[in-house]
Amino acid sequence: MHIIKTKASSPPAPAGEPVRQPALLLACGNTLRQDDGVGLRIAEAAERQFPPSQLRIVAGQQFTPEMAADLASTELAIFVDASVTDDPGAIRVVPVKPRQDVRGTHGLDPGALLAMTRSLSGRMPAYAFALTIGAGRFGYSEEISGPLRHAVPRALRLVNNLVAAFSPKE
Amino acid sequence: MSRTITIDPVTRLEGHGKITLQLDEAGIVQDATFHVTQLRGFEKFCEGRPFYEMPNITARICGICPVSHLVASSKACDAILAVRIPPVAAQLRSVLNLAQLIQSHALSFFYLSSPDLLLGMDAPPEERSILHIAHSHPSIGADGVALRQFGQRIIEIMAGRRIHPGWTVPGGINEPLSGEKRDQILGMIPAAKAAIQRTLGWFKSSLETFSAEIEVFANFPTLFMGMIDDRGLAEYYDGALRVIDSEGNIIAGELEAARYADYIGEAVEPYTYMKFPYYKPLGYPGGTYRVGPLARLNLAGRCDTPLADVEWREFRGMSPKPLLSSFHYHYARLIEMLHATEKIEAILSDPSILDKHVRATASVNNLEGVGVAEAPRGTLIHHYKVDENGLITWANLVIATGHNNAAMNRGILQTARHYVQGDHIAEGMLNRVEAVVRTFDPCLSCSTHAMGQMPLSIELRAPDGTLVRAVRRD
Repeated sequence: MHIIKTKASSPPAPAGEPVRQPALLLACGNTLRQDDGVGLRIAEAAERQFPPSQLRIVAGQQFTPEMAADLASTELAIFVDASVTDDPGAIRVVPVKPRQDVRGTHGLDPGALLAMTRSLSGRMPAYAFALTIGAGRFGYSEEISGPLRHAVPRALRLVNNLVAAFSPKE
Repeated sequence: MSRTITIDPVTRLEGHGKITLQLDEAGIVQDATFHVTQLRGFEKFCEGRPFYEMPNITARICGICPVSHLVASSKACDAILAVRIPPVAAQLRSVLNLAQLIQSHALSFFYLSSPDLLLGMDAPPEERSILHIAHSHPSIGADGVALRQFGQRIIEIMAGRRIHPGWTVPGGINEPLSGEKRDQILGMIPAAKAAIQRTLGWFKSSLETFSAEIEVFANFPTLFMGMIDDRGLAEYYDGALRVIDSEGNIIAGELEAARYADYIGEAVEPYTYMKFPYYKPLGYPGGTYRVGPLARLNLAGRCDTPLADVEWREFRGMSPKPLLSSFHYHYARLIEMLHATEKIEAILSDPSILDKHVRATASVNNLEGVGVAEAPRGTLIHHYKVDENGLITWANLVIATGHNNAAMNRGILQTARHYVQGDHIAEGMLNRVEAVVRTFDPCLSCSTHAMGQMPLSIELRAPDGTLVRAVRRD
């Protein structure tokens, strides 16, 4: 399992004018803690389904500040993560707005990342969504539980729908 | 009545630590101790594993600098195989190690310490984070994010992923570099150099405002230890170790890294899980030394790249003797980032870097192997013993942060004595005590990457344990 993996034909330069990419999927989680890794499972599946020219994938154990550089170069961002508040396997898609009222970076969330992106680069994605999957088991295992295994293909279809609906047209 | 102040946890470090300050009856700091409160146990649970698993197992020690462990471990395994790895494999490992240094230094300087440097030590704690820097100083924040991403991208391009990459294996590396990947990396170099030079510009211009901190942030004589190449210049992947004293005298010129046990001892103290390495000929604690960016730039003849050499001369020109204040670790980190970037460019610009022969193969030929490399925080040593089947029977890891342990403790005491008096606990005062630890950029648990807002509790306790006063930040 690749903890962090991006797939891009032309990655953004470290400074200067970023090149616009069509869509970005940011996933986080820990594959060693059962359902916590569901976001990364979806990222893996998306990597197999989408060509890099259509969807760029960045996955890690948590959302980190340098992901702002990735966000600065896309029109559509989809944040994928496990949720501890929803029933196992339940999928939720909600729009994400930038929020600056974050006191620290230990639990950096999509809204804070969007605000950071806007501050650093003066731009941010036109559309941003959080796709969460309810998770119930967080023990020491690389296997996600049954309800989440069934949720992965459904989540992938939702990713497909979002990419089709909100990616800039050629 | 004597009292104790506890800072637990210390914030914006990699890992979890606690500081205890012991006050006397007059409210003067008598003693300071830095406790590392986690036990990892890698040396023990690696026993019984095949030696060739060690690079991947020990890389899990750290989520920030896994490449450093990967490299040192691979070198220890090379020694067990008794092979001389192909030159291009050594060069590619070196590039990976340098990229690791860049991303780790960027994290330390921009994410963890720039809030102190840009907003001041007395700024409200809720403002001291990279998120706030992004809003208050966006151009500097953007350079920080870009430089961390630059280092991570190189690791990802070469080794397949940013955190816990494979690729470096016993005997070399498992895949040659393609021309496309080389060009991708070279294409990122100019922007990275420009970002580092911009950062050096504003940092140098702000140095005077930190004269008080420079004076008392672990500013005392110690030895310095680090790796050099065969010309005596700064080296990070492979070379001998040099030890200098605080006057700049070379007291050990070319120590064979693999024989570290002949000249490095490890003391233990009852209040912490972190050991206290020392230079054996001078004993403990007289043999206290520092490693990492400040040590490396103090002891090397120079860097070996044009832009970094200019900066190195200016840096070393601040004093005819080695720079002793640990505040200058920040400055040294920036110069090392420039050096690493130029060095990556130089290595990758050599056409032979695309050679296909990148791995030597052998079975177990030695029952013992030592691998040493310079990690971002200093000299990293992996030492393994194996049985005839190649199973680990004993392992000793001397982690870069450990070398600095004694100096960190002394630095905390020095800073606390200057800023902490009586039972008045000001936020800025406590932040300075934490900030002196941050100059060393210690990586305590490694795999836990915590930064920004963490709970901070300070307790004053009477000798009988009675709580006199408590302050807590959530």
